[in-house]
Amino acid sequence: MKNIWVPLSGQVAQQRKVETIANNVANANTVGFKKDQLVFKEHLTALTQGVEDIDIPRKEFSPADFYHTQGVENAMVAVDGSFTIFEQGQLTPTSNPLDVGLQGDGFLEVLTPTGVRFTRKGNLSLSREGELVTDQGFKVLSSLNVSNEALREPAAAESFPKPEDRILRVPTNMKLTINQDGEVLTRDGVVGKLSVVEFQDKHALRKEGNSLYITPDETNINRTNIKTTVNQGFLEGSNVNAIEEMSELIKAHRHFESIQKAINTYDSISGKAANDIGKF
Amino acid sequence: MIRALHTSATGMAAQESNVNTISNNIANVNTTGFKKARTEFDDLLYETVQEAGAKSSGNTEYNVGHQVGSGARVSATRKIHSQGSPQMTNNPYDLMINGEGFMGVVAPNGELKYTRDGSFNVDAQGNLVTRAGHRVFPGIVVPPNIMRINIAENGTVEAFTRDSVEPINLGQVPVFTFVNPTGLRSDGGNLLAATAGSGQAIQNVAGENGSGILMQGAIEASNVNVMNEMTDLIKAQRAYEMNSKVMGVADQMLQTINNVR
Repeated sequence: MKNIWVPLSGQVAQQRKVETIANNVANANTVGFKKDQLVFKEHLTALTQGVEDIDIPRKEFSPADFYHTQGVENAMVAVDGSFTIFEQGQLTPTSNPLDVGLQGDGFLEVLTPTGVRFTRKGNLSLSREGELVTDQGFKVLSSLNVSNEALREPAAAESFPKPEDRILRVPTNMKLTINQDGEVLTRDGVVGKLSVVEFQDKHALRKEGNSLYITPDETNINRTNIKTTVNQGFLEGSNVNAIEEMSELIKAHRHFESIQKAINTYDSISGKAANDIGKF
Repeated sequence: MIRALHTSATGMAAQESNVNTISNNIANVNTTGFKKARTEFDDLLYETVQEAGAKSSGNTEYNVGHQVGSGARVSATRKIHSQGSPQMTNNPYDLMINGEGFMGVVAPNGELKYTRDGSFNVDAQGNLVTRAGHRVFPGIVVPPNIMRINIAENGTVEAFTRDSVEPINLGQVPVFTFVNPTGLRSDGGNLLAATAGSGQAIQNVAGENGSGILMQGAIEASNVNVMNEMTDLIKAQRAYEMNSKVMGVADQMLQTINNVR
């Protein structure tokens, strides 16, 4: 009866999948949202024990030896990980000059009370102090155009401004223009530059909620040679694809049901074992 | 599975709020000086089942983590302060701001409120007032038996009487700007109030310091674009439907489990 855990693991995995789809669909209209996708893996129960602990026959195989693996011969399903799909979302015009839509792999750098975070959500506004902020009041940082190699130099690290010193302040009574490089201009010229950064490995980013991402590894940030363009007056829609999500949902649902059939079969087999065979 | 139910419920609630905002925009499609609002969403917190970078064995680590999100929420309804189109009325007391800024209105309790709705007129005492009878800041009194009244681009109000050739200067209508007009609070009746988020009002002579110029004899139409609103409405409805489908599937899966025995 221990084999009932095998289909069960499949059901748990499908349940996780539905939960992920639910989150994608719930965020179908969230600005700058990037959908998640789950990857399953075959999880050999054999691997939960060290190789040395398993009594795998090291001699030539014979049927009797099969049972020496002591219940670790099953292959379960496990969720391997959730990938965030960083596909470009659609840019839609908003007629709001402080909306910026990013096109490319970049992220805006913002300062939250708990540190520097990254976001694709470009609906910015001005605080009353004249700082460029997100709608939660997190301050948008200005660009630090140095390579990571230079930042890692122990002597140089001190001389570069801290995130607190890079808060972007702009004049408040003039029309702002933001060009494709992220430079903020008034009619008097450039007054600042939005910090748009890219990452060596985007998949190392972690979602934190509130449309923010955090990088566990500072060296992953790429500050120079940014290919992302900044589009003023546009917002990036979420990249959730309705058809895809719905078909994935149907698939997950049907898989779940067929796994349920397998569990039912297990149940009726053990029912036979207990009742019918017991009659003899 | 209960989590998927909750997650899609948060999505449905967010879309419902979105439809509320859209319907308010559409309801105010002909409201003078109305600025449309836009619902903005955020994703909620994530449960990190498996941290990226955690050890997967002695000397390797997981390259990707496993995170399960818990839905969406409305983070803001943002007013879009884009210019509405002018409507010529030929009423000499009607004012419209072409550009940034707001006209000041003294509420009955003496508090200063702000508006883009310049459909003004004079009351029995000759005060320049809004339709609701609130006085326009700083208080312009129009004398009786005037022939014409002229309001200049910079807000100077001049009246021509039958008795004299020279016009009488009645005062000047200022234009207030805010560092962050998005932070203003809508108080209904086409009035807005300053908040901690918008910052203090800055009083300008119309046309100076980036404030707009005044236009006499015109009012500003609402900046609601019905086509955009309808598209947003369709998007909201479809998103709502998708969420309810997910909820239905989560429910059916729960039902399947419950029917095992």
